[in-house]
Amino acid sequence: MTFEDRSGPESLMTAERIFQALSVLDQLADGATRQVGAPERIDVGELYRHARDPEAAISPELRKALADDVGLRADFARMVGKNAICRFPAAAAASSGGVATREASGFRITLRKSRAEPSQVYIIIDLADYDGAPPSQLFVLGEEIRACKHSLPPPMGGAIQILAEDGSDIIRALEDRHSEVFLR
Amino acid sequence: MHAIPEYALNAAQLDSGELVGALAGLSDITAGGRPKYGPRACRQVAIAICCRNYARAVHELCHMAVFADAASGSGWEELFWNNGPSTAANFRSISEQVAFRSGFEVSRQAVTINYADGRFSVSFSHMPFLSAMLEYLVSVLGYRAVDDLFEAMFEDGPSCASVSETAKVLSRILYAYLADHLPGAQAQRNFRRLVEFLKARDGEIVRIDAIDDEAVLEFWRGHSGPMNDNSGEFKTFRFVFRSFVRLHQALDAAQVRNALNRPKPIGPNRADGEIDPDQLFGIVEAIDEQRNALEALRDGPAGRIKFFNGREAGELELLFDCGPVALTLPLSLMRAETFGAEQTRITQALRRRSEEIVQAVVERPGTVNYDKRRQAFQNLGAHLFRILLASLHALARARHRKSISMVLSLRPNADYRRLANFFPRQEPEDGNVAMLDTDRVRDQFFAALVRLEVDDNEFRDLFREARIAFGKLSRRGFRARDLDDPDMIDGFAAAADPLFEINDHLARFCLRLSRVALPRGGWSTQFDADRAVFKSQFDLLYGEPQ
Repeated sequence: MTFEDRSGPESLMTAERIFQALSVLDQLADGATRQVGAPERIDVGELYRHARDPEAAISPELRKALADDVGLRADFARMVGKNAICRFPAAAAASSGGVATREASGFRITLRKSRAEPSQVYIIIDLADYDGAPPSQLFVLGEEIRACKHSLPPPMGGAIQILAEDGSDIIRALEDRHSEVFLR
Repeated sequence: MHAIPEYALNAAQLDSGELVGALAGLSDITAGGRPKYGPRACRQVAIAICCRNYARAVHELCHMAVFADAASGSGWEELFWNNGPSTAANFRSISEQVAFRSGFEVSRQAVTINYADGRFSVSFSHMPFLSAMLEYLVSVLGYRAVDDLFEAMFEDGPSCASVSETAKVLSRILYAYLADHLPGAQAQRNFRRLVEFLKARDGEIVRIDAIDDEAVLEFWRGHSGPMNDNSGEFKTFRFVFRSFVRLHQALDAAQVRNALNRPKPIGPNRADGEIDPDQLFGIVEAIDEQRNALEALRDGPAGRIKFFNGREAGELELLFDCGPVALTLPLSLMRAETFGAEQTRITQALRRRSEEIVQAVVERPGTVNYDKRRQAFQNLGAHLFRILLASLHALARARHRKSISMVLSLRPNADYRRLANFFPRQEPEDGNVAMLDTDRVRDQFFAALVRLEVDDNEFRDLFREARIAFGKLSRRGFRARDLDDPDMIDGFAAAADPLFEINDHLARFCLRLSRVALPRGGWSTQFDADRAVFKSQFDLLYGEPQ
């Protein structure tokens, strides 16, 4: 008794479909078929935790991927933005030079050079028109800039102040008119 | 009606390696130092993808997203990505801690969502698979594509109808993606080459029993050379062997499943007479069941215990990948385990440009002969028996019910009437039926067994052996302190049935090896003959050009 005698010629076609599915399963499940030199896969959960949790550690792989991958930075911005207290959109295209002040939803961020130490810049987040729980993190994100995440100290006198080196990543990112700023 | 976003379709420009890598990457993701997704969940995703039978899972996933959004209050992502390992117990524990708004019911088994237009339950046991499916969707389609659809679904308050609509769109996006990425064409060509070979060898009609050890070797010798294998896929003996195993499984399943008697191209449109992916999924899942026992030891509570080290697990892998077909092709499996493994070394050495290793293997293949490999299988069997005894000791000491069935399996022919004194007669009172205090009887029974106080040599010996076996193992799960760890005891209980399944399959294969009629008589003479064949073919494939 042969296969086709018993099952009809169309069963060979059925067997072909099953063989195909099993072979693809082998390929999918076989880690060895991962292409040599293919980029490391990024754990989206880690990206999410980095966006949500001030204490979350970031792996070197994710740091590198965020620096290299525009799409990943867009995903990160989306995750950050979902639960942000305030989002400052990119500055208007007409503005020229570095951005010194941003305003949105009752918040204002101002960059001011230190008089005592000209190489340093104050980041002043004015909460005057905001009466909720103060933000604890500042994110500066954008397609063409290195993502910055900064923990914020408690406010004093209705404002949060951070001192940063002029030319540092966060100052350059805040001055970049293509960047988006989020308070969380 | 949602439109398929352009960017989601653009994702299809990636090659299939990305799709394969995304799946392989699932098992690499960790949470709290442990794999986030168990091997079974990863395997289920792979089966759903390769059979294109994901519509139901995607639908269920969309309902789970509704539940996830309600559970966290800060986005659906929290449940999936900020809650540790993706296990049923973990999802249940999270759900029990949440004070849901009205519309959600949490039981021990599932979460039920009451919509205005219907209700839907998602079981906790299914959530690890759904969670892995979400991870896979996000990795191949992008977070934005998934988030856009979920947020639109949440926007006006989800309903059964809106969840179904979202699931359909998500499935369509995945379908479009897979159309360009599932590597199916090569598999189809391989099938036809195998079938053509069998027809050329045995006549125009394909016979399952034509797939034998001789056919596998003959095909490899005839098709592995560069003149005969443009794709290079049939170059390795292990690939050829696995292809014949899959062919055997496929022919067998197609024959058994008469329901699949009018196959058409796989797709979602059943009205056009296409194969129902559910049927294909059922077949592939049934064939894949063979791997379950090994995977069950790596998953869930059993995964805490090191039943096998890396070498031992590796030695069982191919045998369980083949399932019952291993008994049909025992010599081919031995060839794959010895010469096939050496060919893998050659391939790896070629990638590293280690010419010396290539030359050494090509010149003298067969460092592990068939007798040694058979001995390795037998040693594994002996180890497995010790593991079973040691598990019995752990479970009996914990007075776990599972140890009763273990005793029955380990001593199936014992005279259990001799244990009657552990079951005191209780006279019925006032005409009522006497109820046995089963917990008390069990406790007395196990306490006596563990202390070796049973007045029966057979059972006393069994438990003495069990205690000695436990004491001789020093790996994770078999240390003295593990006996008092309830998590470890859960692991032993979960592993008992899979261990017996592994034991049965291994024992059947060892028996088959001892009885198989080899073309060259015995295993030693067969090995010598095979070594000449493999050396000749390795020379052809990897030797210095003359």
